[in-house]
Amino acid sequence: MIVGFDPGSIHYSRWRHYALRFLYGGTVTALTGLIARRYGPGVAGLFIAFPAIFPAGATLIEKHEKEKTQSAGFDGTSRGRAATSIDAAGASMGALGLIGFAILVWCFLPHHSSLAILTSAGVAWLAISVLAWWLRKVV
Amino acid sequence: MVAGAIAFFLYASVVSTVLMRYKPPALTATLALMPVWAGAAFGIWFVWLR
Repeated sequence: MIVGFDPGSIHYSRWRHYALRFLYGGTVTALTGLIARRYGPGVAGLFIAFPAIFPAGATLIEKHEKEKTQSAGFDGTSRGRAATSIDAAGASMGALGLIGFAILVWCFLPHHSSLAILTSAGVAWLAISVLAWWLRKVV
Repeated sequence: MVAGAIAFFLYASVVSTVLMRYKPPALTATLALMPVWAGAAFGIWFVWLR
């Protein structure tokens, strides 16, 4: 399976799929706020990286790949799960970028401009994630 | 956030490996392995950041 960017795939997702992702993401964001108020920002920070949207997204990818393969006359179960596995691998690469983002924010935000640090950390997230994915492909 | 991100990296890596090797349903794997995230996140927080 080749990983690429296909803007046409936006049409495959239904509005309720997006709504489901927003619902999970929004719920965890709201809970993180409540946890921060009760236990402080240290514990709440853990939940910023809580896998809230990932299970819903992975399930939708599995379903979509399965339906696509079934429409071509095959079972599709195995392909759906393989696609989900690749999605999870991508998520782990993104998590490496998130580690870099969090370290930069942790070290530099208290003493520098928020905009500059958050922008730099965002660029670092992108660079680390893409580099990790590229290294994974090469190795 | 650093601890949560490290935990998410471990969780996603384990989910990817399990899905590729054993091919369970995605929802089962992602939810059943949630304790990996919780254990790693709170473990790192308890040992390093508390």
